[in-house]
Amino acid sequence: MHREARFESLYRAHALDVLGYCARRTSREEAKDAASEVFVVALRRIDDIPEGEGALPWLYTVAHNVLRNRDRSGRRRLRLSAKLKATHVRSVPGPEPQVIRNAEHEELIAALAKLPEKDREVLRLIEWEGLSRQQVADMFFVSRAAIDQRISRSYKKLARIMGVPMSDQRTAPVPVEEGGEA
Amino acid sequence: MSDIQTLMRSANPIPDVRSEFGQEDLDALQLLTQRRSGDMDLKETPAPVVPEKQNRRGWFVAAAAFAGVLLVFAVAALLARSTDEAPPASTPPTTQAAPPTTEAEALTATTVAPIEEQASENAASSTPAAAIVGELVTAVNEGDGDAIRQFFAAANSVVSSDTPDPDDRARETGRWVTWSLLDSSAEIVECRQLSSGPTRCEIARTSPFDISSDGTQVVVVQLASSADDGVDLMRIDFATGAWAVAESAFADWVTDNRPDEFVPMFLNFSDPELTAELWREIYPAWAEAQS
Repeated sequence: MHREARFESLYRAHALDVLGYCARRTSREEAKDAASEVFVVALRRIDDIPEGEGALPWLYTVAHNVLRNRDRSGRRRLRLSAKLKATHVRSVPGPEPQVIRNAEHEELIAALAKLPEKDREVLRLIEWEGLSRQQVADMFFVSRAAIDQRISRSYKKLARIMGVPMSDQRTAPVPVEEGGEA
Repeated sequence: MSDIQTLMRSANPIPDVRSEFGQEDLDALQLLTQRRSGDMDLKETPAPVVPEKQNRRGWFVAAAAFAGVLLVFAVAALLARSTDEAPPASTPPTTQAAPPTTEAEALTATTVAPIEEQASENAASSTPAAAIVGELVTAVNEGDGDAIRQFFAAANSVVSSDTPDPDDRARETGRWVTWSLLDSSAEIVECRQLSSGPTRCEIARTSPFDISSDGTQVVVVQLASSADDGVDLMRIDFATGAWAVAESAFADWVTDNRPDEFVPMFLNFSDPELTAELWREIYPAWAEAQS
């Protein structure tokens, strides 16, 4: 397929998804800017983007990196500034609190922030972005079983942080569905 | 589905993207993307080997040009010496460069051999920067490790001299890692992470080098480690500055758990020894927390 045509097709198919991914992790305006960066990278690397359903996870990976870089730069600036003021350095609050709808969600978002980055991202990819477990496994270069374990473990951690009891059923490993998809 | 899973799902800040963003947003996004992509080539034919005009690649072109100058001088010195002294044919080629001024340069100095043919070609090139970048592409494609090392040695000597910006430093660190992976056919490589100094890393998986004529480099590495189920992923894209997941996880942990040490660690990037010391102190705590 012609590269330009492919890019347009990719943009039409996934622009909203990428925008949504970014908006769930940062402010609305910042999300547009970051999504734009993602598609600039996609444009340059169009030949490297997997065909079919591998394309969206690829774009999410780029979006993840773009947001991380932006976040890190911002935090560094804040930390250096804080150091100069000799005040205690605090983490910059993430974007999620801006969209908290109720106290329960607030509690969950706070607990989510305490998870290791990869755990947090896996849960968000599955539950918020709607990726299949196999797609997430491919994104992280791990087996489907490893992702299942990570999800199970992450929910346990989340429950522990929130002080929510989990039944055996909840803590049991998630079975691998037929065809490897969730 | 457990309660917490249901809660997680319902906590989605934007459950329906389509109702949140309209065509207007998409048009704005497309316009912004087009403006940023600028004069990017979307044609079927491969882009010619010319330096990119984007600012973020300026250092790369500068490094390439510097490498070219170094190579030209090296060849000139060798030619002059061979004319004067006519050494025996069995004498191995040597590069007598200035004493290494950086850690990176020091490491390279022990392994780099001169690539005289390439240097001669560089000398003949009318556009040294483009020629060097082109030759780097060729060297990578042909698996010419010596030529690649020589390039990065020159690049490091330039970039290491003054990189106050942490993001530049990050890219530089990434370059060190990449550079260390030149011998990634081995199962163990010497990695350099966050200026920690040499670290032995077992590689679980690497991608091939991907260096295009515009200076884009991507290396995907899975490092076997004690952290995070024994696998870390390192991804470095020099064109975008996106780098590392393994380091990011570590840096984030330090940010959250050892904030007082985080700032000096990054403030003192210009002092590799102090940085390495801090890194060595913090890393075991991190590793323990991850286990």
